[in-house]
Amino acid sequence: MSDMTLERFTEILDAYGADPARWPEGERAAATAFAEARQDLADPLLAQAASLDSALGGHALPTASDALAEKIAGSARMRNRAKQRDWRGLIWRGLGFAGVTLAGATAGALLVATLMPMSMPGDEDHVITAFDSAF
Amino acid sequence: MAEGDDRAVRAMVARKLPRLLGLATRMLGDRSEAEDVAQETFLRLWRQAPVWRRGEARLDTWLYRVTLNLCTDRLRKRRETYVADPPEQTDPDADPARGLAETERNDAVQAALDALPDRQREAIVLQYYQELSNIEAAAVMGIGVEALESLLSRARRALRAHLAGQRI
Repeated sequence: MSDMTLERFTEILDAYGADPARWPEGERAAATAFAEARQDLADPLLAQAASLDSALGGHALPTASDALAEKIAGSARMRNRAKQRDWRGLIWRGLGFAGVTLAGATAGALLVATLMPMSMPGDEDHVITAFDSAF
Repeated sequence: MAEGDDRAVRAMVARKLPRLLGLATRMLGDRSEAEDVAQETFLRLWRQAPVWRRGEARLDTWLYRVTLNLCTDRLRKRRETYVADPPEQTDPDADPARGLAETERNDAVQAALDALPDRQREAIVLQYYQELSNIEAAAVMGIGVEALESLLSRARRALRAHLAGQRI
């Protein structure tokens, strides 16, 4: 109580209302003690704050409909399906790219094999052998 | 959740939707727009879920901040579009069985909230209706506790003056 002044108590009520549960945690005990010790000062302030709290508390809202909740949950399912499609697409595109690369490499190898004169293994040995045998 | 488990998604929606919808409805004063904002907030959550890192920021703080930003965007657009002729705000879910006095009280409080500057409305909705602590509310708004307190004091003063005129 000693570290709570009337000025600070008034500021707390002005900002947070009359319910101690809504007061700043670090000052709650001191403010509550002040309210008990100085009821002559605190009670009119508490009554004024409680009156506004009561008016605000009367503002009720309709509950969220099941249809809205289902729509939102459905949006998560749709997103997951779209993500799976993206992954599948990526995998197929990857496989396609690998296939095209492999086909290109095979075709290139065949082309080289067809157009380039092939050196016969052993030809060089044969020439050397013939030369050697002449001397 | 990050793997998109359907039960986890439903549990998340059941837990978070009422509060986010309440926040957006009180910020916008329009149920239909608030539902759009809530849906958009969850869409952003689904996008964020796979890369969410625990401890990076509290989920609730992130959700409130996204919701508030979306509301602010809509309020700005609304002001730009309807400066001359503000739209009539009606509650499509209004329960006809609800008492007239209760409906009038609700409308009066919503009108008082609507009349607040945006930042004051954010402060009072987060602290009073969402029941966040002063530290949490300040974190969502990206301000210090002292600044929050100042906004709350001004908001409550303005609300009291507005409602006194309505005898609520």
